[in-house]
Amino acid sequence: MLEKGKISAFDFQVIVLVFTIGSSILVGPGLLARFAKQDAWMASSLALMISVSFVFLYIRLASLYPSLTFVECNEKILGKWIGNMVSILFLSYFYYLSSGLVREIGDFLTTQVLVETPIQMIMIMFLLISLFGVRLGLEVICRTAVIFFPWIVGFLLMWFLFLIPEIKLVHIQPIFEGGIVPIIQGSYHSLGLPFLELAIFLMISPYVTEKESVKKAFYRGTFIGGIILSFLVTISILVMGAEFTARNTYPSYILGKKISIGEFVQRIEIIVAIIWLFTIYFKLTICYYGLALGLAQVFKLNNYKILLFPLAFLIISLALFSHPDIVHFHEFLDHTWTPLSLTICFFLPLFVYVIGVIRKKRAIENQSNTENI
Amino acid sequence: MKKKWKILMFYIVVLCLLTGCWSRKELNEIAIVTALGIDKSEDGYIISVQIINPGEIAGKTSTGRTEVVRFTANAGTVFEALRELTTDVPRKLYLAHLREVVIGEPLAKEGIGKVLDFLSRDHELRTDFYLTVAKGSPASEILNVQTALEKIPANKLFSALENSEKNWARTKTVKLDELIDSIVSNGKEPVITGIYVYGDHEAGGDFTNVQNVSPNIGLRINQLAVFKKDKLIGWLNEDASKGFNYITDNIKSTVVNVPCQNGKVSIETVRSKTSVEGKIENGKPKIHITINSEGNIGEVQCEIDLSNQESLHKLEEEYQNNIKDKVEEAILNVQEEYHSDIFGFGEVFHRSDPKAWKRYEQNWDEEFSNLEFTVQVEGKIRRLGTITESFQNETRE
Repeated sequence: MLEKGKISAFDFQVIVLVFTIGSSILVGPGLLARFAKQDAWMASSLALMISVSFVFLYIRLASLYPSLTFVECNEKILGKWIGNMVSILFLSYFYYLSSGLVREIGDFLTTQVLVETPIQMIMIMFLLISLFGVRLGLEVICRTAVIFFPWIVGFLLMWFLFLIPEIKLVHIQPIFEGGIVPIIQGSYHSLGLPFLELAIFLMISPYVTEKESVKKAFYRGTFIGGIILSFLVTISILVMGAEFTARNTYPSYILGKKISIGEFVQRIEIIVAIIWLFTIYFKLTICYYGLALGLAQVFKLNNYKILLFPLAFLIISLALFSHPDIVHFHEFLDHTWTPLSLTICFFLPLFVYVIGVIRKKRAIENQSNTENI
Repeated sequence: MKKKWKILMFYIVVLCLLTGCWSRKELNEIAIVTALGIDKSEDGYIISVQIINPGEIAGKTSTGRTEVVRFTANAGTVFEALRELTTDVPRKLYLAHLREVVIGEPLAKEGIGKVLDFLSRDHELRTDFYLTVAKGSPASEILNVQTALEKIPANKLFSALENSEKNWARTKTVKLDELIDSIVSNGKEPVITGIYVYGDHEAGGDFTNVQNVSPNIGLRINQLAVFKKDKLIGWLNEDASKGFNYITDNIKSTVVNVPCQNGKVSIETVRSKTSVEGKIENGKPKIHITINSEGNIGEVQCEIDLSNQESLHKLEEEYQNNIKDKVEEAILNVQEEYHSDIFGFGEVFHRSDPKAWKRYEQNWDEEFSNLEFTVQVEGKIRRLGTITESFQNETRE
């Protein structure tokens, strides 16, 4: 066993929740509003409902071999060569996701907050802290998430509360203007961001001690996270209107700028940035951790920590060189990310699951056959 | 021992990194811009900024210098002009505390869309400042006026806009996102409050101006500018401006004068609620406006028997008529003169009947100009103030 840490179901739930919010909290509303206009909140809810089926698949897959990670499952089910190839395909997605997250952090901070700071510096600092977390192992990551969780919830509540006076109900009317098509389009795009990314938890679920409660924790984490996202999308539209939400790169940050309670509580947009930095930190760390652990399991190393520094270099360089500019990055998110996510995080696990079920059945049949003879 | 060294090295590296403040800006390195004026020049824009002089505002002893300073620059774009200002201003401009953007009338007539892009794109700017149009004088001149009472003229404008919207109801505060929203929307056109300089124009920048008990020059906000898309096409008069605020449910409190016998009675509106409904009748869009207004008697200048419910009802009727007249006048005026749907009636249809709206959307300006409407006002006078009968009855000889 590479990872000796054990986490409880509650830890698992918190980390799933935080993972779901991370990064989508900033880019989600804009993306959805671009497609579904004032019906974006419906699109977001629809996406949440669809994504429950993904979680269902992941849970079924995880319960085939409850003590094995996805990478180990692959090898067991598909054999050494094909299994490892599938694993590498799966891990390359999370390699890309990690670098994408690092890129997002860099882009956001250099556009909105630290305009004159070089993006490399921000990326390196952030990844270093993440590396620190990954080195200390799963247990530490999850416990840290649990410690920061009340802060995230508190800030979110405060933020929503302060925005209530700014709400204008006319902004979400007329409901259902463009019909169902834009809503489906919108929800299709938010499937990849963030719900399909939850596949990384196939690497983590074996380390949860309470096997029975994993399912519940997974569902609950996803569901609460998704509801927070839908809520956020609704609030963005209610406060700023669909047009303005769609036009802004980081609508929720602008939302923070709008808060003004009696000329006293104002200019607290950085709270939004803090929520976002917390959540995206855990998202990045989980991806990074899953990636390192998976690679170590593919190559049968007895310690994943040796991979961390080389991976950090690879992630930073991919983050810097994968997209020449922000327009390219957003194009990529709009057009490529969801199909890619569907392939790697839905069809691939589905394929593995189907084969796994067949093999397991055969194994049982064979066993009973030999017993009969 | 070796491990200890490693830890020590680690701490040193972290120390170097954690000092933060890569691009720090201390307060004495930035110039806080409170108001921004944008005028048209031949080949671009004339930008004027009003910067506060922190030593003068916060310092215990004043040195006799002015509290605000105005700088101007001329360049091809707003952004370029702001950067060009560094040749004049010793510090870097900091725009996050902007309270007021003043746009020159000639520029507004030509279209403000291009200017708004910068305001919306730049990361330092928030959306919590108000936009106004300079009437009769360039925006740079507006920023050149020292105001009495408020040390920072931009703050004066900011609170004057808020106060007069709340208590006078003939102006309207407009923020950037709302403005862009109505420029983009097909069913709603923007309005912006006008601002002008009164008094001796020459005296504006003169510091002695604020040393007078009655300043020679001042700033006043008044009237609403009607826009079509991003172009200014005219001004509403005062009554129509008030009517506009009634229609858009933007009345918090205001004063209504109604005639009575041989004098006037002023009624203070304390509560007002408007609902606008759109219906398609016989294939034609129709608007129905319902206003519920509540008021108290504020001033009586005639002989009226206020203890009598009958006479109060008469006053109520007058009160309703007055509001109704203003509303109708506002709509007719805009329909005839400007053909620009500043009331957002199009949006009302958009919300209530999205399918029908699709038909009208393309030539809504025309539809709007011929739009039928009905106004229903429900006015109530609740209280008389601290005295009941006026003593006017006794003064008659």
